[in-house]
Amino acid sequence: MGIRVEFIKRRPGGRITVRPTIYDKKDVTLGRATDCDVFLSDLRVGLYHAKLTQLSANKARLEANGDHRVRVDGAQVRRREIGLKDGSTIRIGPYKIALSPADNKGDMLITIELVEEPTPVRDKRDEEAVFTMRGYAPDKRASAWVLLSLIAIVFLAAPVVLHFRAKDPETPGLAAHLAMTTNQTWLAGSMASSHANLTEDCRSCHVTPFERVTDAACLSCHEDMRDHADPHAMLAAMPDHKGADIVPAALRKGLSIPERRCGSCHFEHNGPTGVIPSDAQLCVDCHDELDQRFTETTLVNVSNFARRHPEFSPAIVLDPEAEPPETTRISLVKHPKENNGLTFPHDLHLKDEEVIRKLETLPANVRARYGDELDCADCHETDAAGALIKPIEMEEHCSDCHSLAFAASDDEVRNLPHGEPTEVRRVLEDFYLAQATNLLLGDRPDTLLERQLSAEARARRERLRAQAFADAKKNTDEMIARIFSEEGVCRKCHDNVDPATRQGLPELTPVRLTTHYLPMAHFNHADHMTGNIKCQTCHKAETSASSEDVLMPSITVCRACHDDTAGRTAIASDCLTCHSYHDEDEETPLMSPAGLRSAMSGGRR
Amino acid sequence: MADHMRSSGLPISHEGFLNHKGFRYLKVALVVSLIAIIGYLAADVRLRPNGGTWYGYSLGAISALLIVWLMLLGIRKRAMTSGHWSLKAWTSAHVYLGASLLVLATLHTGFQFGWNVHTLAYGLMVVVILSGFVGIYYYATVPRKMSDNRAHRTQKDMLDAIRALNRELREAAQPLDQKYVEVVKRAIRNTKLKPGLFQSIAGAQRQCATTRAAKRLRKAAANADPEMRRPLEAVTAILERKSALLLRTRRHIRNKTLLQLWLYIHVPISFALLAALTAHIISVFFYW
Repeated sequence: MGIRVEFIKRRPGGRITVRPTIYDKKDVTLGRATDCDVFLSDLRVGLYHAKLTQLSANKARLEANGDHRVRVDGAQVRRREIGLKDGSTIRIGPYKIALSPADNKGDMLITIELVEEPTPVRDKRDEEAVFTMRGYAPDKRASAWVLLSLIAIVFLAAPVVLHFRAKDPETPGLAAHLAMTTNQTWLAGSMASSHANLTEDCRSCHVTPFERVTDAACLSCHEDMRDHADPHAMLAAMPDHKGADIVPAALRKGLSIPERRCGSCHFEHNGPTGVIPSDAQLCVDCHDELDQRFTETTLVNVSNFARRHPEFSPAIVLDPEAEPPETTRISLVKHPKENNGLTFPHDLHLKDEEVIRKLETLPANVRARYGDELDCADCHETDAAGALIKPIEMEEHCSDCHSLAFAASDDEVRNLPHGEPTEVRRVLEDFYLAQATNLLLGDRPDTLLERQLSAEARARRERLRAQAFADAKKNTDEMIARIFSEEGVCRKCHDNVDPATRQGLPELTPVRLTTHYLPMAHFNHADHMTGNIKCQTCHKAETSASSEDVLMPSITVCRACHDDTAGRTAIASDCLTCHSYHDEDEETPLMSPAGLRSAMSGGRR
Repeated sequence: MADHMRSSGLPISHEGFLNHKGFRYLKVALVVSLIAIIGYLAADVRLRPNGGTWYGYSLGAISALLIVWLMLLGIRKRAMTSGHWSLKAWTSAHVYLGASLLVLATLHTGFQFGWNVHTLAYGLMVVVILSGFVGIYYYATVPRKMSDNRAHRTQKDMLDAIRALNRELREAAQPLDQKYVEVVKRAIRNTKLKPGLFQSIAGAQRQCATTRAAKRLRKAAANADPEMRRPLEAVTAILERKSALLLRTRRHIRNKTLLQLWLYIHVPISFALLAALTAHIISVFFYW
């Protein structure tokens, strides 16, 4: 018995070369070591990998060496007996080994073929894979399309589709909720706090897609909003676009940004501070050089509070008897004198000795309200909002000192009613008649009947009665004459217009006190009472000896603080600090921007 | 001259897209930005700077058209022409006008930002522009380093050399003990030319199997019998050569990555920007 080993090599074109070796022994060693019978050159093959022993003409034994293994028909084995006619396939590393009986009878043929590359080359990936971004990042084109589609769906398609879906009241719930959520991604900025409730309801203002918010949408809530002035007056007042404004005006027109919409002034989605513009330029556009464009105007040109704003013109009462009451706006430049029907010297009340002595005579509980001397706040109180000063009421603010008591007993003080001269007469008549009646009743014992009296007694009684009633009338007349006399209690504060008496009563001048001297401006007293600012900082009451004096401060007093010209402390001094745009006067037409726009299109431009 | 080029890092010896026509488009971009800033400060916009004023709409329209034009570079670069609108001129304009967009679009926002599709579009635009800046930086600095590193080798040369060294290793390792054979086999098997993205950019290959194997076999050779020392040293020498080659190759991959990576942000995000921009424009007029 011998062993024939054949190395087979396949050549291109199907040619096969065979390199045979014959061993005259029963076993051969296989391995990577050069002294092996069968030299298998590959690192996956052990130095002394296995041994093949022929057992008989038809059988051989394969034994792996040490830890090595051999694959026989796919199974990893250490040792296996193999029939030479079985056609089994043995694999060691990249080599395929087959056993069969050799031609020479009794011999064993081992055919060996290299069926794989000697060692798999792990790094034989193509150049592109190694030197490009493959494996580092997804394909640029793919990720571009994915991102593009994702954003288009989430931020464009979904809001649009859901806008129309959620409109259908039949599909509330999820669609409406999603519509709200996706619509919020369109929200350009947070809403003004006054509109915060509309944040989730875009359609309350944006009624029709691709149409600007209409004035009708605003006016559906702000229905009784009044316009600034008569539309034709405003039309006349508006300036023509000129100079640097021509380009923006043309662009606004080109971009169809119409003027005179609600939205021309009220910008939404600009944060919670509000949609009320504070830009003075909006007002100055018309009110600067106003008289040149709108010659009928009674208003003075204004362009800036600190530099170009007229002196205040308070509403002055010139005739307190006018009915209905009327005021005239007179500029403080002309030092107007007021005739409000009241005699009241501020200086006296604020520092005179007599006032201090008078305070000392007051009961302790009343005096506590005033202290040692009077100050402004003892009589002038602001309203609940802290804005205006409440009207002076005689009973509340004057009567503690200027008492209208005309009679007093131990347990009772009788006061005259204020402001009602005819009532004054009745009160006095009642008082003195009651006095007379009491006198007469005290003279007549109840038990005595009239007819039981003697004729003389009756006559005396008649005289007494007549005398008592005559005295009552006389006392009343005297008292009235005294009260209304030149030195009387009324005349301390009131003028007597007509000394001729009506029902024995004089005609007093009505008192017309003004609570709002600058009715077109709003002012908050409480806001200004800070730091060292007191009432008399602005109102020079201490030196005013007459109620004819108008104690309104001049604009220069305001400008001491409200001056936002360059370099000065910027306390708000824009138009809306004091003025409102939408007039509260009921004679002004209701807000209708569309009306003005149509007037504009048919008007002078 | 060569020293000058090296120190600046910019290829100034020839006219690249950055200094095209004496920085013509840089000048254009600066003038455009300056006009936009002056206009922003001077424009009479009621009631505050905002994308919805006449000036805001104008800046927005210009910016949107500019974005579309900038994206056309992707189409333009695939068609070679020369002359006035050469690709170089186009690229130069792309770079500088793209950078000026940062000014135009920022002014368009009126500095009003929020968590919405409008700011999303702006944010994506900023990402695209900044990634472009990164790209310009690497275009200006990397190619020189890259050719120094390549030392006249092509990429194919590098791979062939590695393959050749592997073959040498396999042959040289034949006489070694099985345990050293395993070391060499592992080194070959575990050779990762391309480390992870971050490792590649960081430029460090902490766990190079080849370097580790070389160290191990060098130590083994020192302790081996005189008979085994020679084959071990032979294998070690090959491993060390391969290690050096791998270092160079990985550096090359890093350079190529740096040159390409920004585009993997620049291009997809600019498409995302196109979608967000469309959504932005439609949304503001849908709810006008």
